[in-house]
Amino acid sequence: MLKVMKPGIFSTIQDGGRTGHQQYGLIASGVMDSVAYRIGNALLKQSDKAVIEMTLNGGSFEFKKATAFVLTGGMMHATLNNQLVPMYKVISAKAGDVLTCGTIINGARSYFCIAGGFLVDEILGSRSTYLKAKFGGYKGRSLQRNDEIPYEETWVKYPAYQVNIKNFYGNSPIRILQGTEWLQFSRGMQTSFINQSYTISNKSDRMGYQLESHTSILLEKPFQLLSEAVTFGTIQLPPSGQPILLMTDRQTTGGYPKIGQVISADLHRLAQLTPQQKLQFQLVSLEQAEEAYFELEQQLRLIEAVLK
Amino acid sequence: MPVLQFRQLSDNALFVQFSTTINEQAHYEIQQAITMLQQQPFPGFIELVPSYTNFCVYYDPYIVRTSLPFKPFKTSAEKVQNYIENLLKHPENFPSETGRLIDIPVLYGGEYGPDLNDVARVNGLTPEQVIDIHTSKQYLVYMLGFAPGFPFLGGMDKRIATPRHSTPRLQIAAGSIGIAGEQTGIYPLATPGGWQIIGRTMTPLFLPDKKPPTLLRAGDRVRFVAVKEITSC
Repeated sequence: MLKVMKPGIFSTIQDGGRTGHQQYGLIASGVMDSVAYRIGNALLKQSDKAVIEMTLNGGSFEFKKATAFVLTGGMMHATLNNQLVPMYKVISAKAGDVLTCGTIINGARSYFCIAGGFLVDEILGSRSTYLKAKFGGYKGRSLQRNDEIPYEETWVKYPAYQVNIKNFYGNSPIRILQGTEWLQFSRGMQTSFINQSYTISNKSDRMGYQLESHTSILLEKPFQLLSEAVTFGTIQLPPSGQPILLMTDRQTTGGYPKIGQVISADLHRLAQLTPQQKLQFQLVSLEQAEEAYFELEQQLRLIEAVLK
Repeated sequence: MPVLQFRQLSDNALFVQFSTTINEQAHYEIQQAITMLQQQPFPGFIELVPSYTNFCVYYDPYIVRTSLPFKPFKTSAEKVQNYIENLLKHPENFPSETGRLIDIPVLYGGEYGPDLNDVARVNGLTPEQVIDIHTSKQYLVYMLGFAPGFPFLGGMDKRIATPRHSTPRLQIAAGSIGIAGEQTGIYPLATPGGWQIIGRTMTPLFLPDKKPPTLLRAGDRVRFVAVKEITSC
């Protein structure tokens, strides 16, 4: 068991998500930053094992059994019994050890990955928390003080690799494709949409980020769209003209016009943006989007293969 | 099969469009197409989400690209489009209507349906007439979305159409039966919402332990049956 001494601001158990059930209205869930998640699991020589996703501020945890763990994602100051814990490096822990995580310094989300994964019940193929339906993860909710999360004991020593992840993030604009309703917006609105910068509002969570901008992006003739699929990274425009960027706890379908779509290769970077941070978009072609995804996937697969 | 239109939702998601309007013919064509695609998926296929006039297919562009042969396609998107076009060129003869008829017992009015009287008043009917009209039809489940197991139903009688509340209620109980404009539906989970609530069912719509995890599926028909007391299923 891992005993939660302090849960942090908002920590949930997540994995790669609950795929295959969106046609029943069941949301995908899963980690927001899949790159940090995959590398964390790869360092522990495993894949798709449940982790704790911590938001803005980490928690404190007491290990009740020996194990190995690694912290990935946004950089934070963390200690194990007052010994500094470097990010992206596997650390052994024994019964009674206490991991204390601080504020996330650059980024919004950090991942606490453990050997064998956190062993909460799997529901519909995933251990991810679905807050609104109150199931999955740990009792269907975010972590609280005194929660005890199961994991398997292990004494295996892991090689002390450290992965350089600088290339995966960076400050370049977030690349987007034209959304499915792009052409319904006037030239002027398209230009404003691309050229202005956005602030991530405080009303942003795992469902979606509200974006604030100087110029509202409006349709000349507002129209009703039939509800249809939306996905991670879809940029919707409600009648207010202030975009909503959909994240991993989004609904499966939506009816607002979709002006843009963040490319798959940049989704994990969205996960690390904090409220009040600025954000800029850059329009790319479908070919460029596929190429960027192919490159990212090749790098991740290489890391996974090398660490195996 | 009609002429299909393709639109990319993302670099890993493609809409296959069958129609521009809601109609039962398009619905059956979509059901038939997704059955075929689920039986004969391509390498890289992840899942699909049907809606009123299209379905969206999610795929992994890396697997699509690295599963041979990739040529002559320039993008994974092109290859997926081509696969779907070829697959649906020869639709198999499924029975056009494969859905089941599912009865939903409903307690109308009172504390379970606080807006029943308003729906009656707005439409110049008695509450009993609203119940008669609401229970007289079979409703086609066009799609599920919004919440797990939430059915988008077609075919409500316009005589009981009522606009949404201008200010949504903060909490609507799970199982609430509502009307919003010309739509009717059932809330599977307790959520905020602006629908006019005319009754409640105790039949659970979301069944996380079952496969598939919902009582209703796209293509089913729903009939509401007025009951006098709670009968838990």
